[in-house]
Amino acid sequence: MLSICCPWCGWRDELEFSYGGQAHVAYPANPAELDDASWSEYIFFRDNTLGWFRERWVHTAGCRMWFNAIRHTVTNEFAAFYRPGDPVPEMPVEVVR
Amino acid sequence: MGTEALRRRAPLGPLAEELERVCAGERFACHQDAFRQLTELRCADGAEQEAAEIVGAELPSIGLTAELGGTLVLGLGPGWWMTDSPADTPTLPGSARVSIVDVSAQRTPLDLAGSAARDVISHGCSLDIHPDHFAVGATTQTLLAKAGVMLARTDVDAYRVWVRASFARYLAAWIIDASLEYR
Repeated sequence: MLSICCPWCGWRDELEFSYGGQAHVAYPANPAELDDASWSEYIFFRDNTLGWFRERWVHTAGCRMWFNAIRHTVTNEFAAFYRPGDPVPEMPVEVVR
Repeated sequence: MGTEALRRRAPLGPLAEELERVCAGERFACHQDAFRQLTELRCADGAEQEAAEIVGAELPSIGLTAELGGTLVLGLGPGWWMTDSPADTPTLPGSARVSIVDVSAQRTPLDLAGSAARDVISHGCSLDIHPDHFAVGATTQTLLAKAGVMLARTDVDAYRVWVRASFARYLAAWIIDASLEYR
């Protein structure tokens, strides 16, 4: 079970959260001008990172707030938790073990 | 009022009597505090002061409760509170940036008391509710036996759990089962 730190409630079990996929996927600036390929790119296509990854979580069973986290997709370590609108933390340097 | 009283039913139904009868020991006691007036207070970003003026008192910050003349106010999240008052308390009017909604039917409060209450809750809740981490006056939303609840510590050995009406009978059955060794 992952331990996740909600920026409002503190450390809780993963059970209380729901996953929201990749973070910082910006809504298209001019949606009306997008063709089908660009739309599907925006809606369905996400990075498949091996390593540190910025992603979204929501504290479903708690304060129901969305927030961002930096998680390592291989080791499941968390490097940072931050609120939407907060300064985006730097990605940790990948340590080769 | 007479017909209303005949018609209304608490979420636990007949299980309320069994819960109160079975969990009535010195180390652990539990009962439903039915028909309380619950309201949810939500305010827009930056309207916290306006919300406090409507309520007429300082609202507790996230994770804390406040007692305002018989009403318990829970700080649940950013711009989000719940109030728990005796039945038939008039609901305050909201404003453009502060919404106050009666949610009495959504949840039912259960009172858990006794020296073993913390152990019973800990059987189904991963949160650390030791007094060092969850002091008197603390509140949170979490999972108790997988059911989403609001949990508050009202006294050293007393907790109050607000459980959704549809989960109430399940949770009461779980409490009866989990408290077996403490009765």
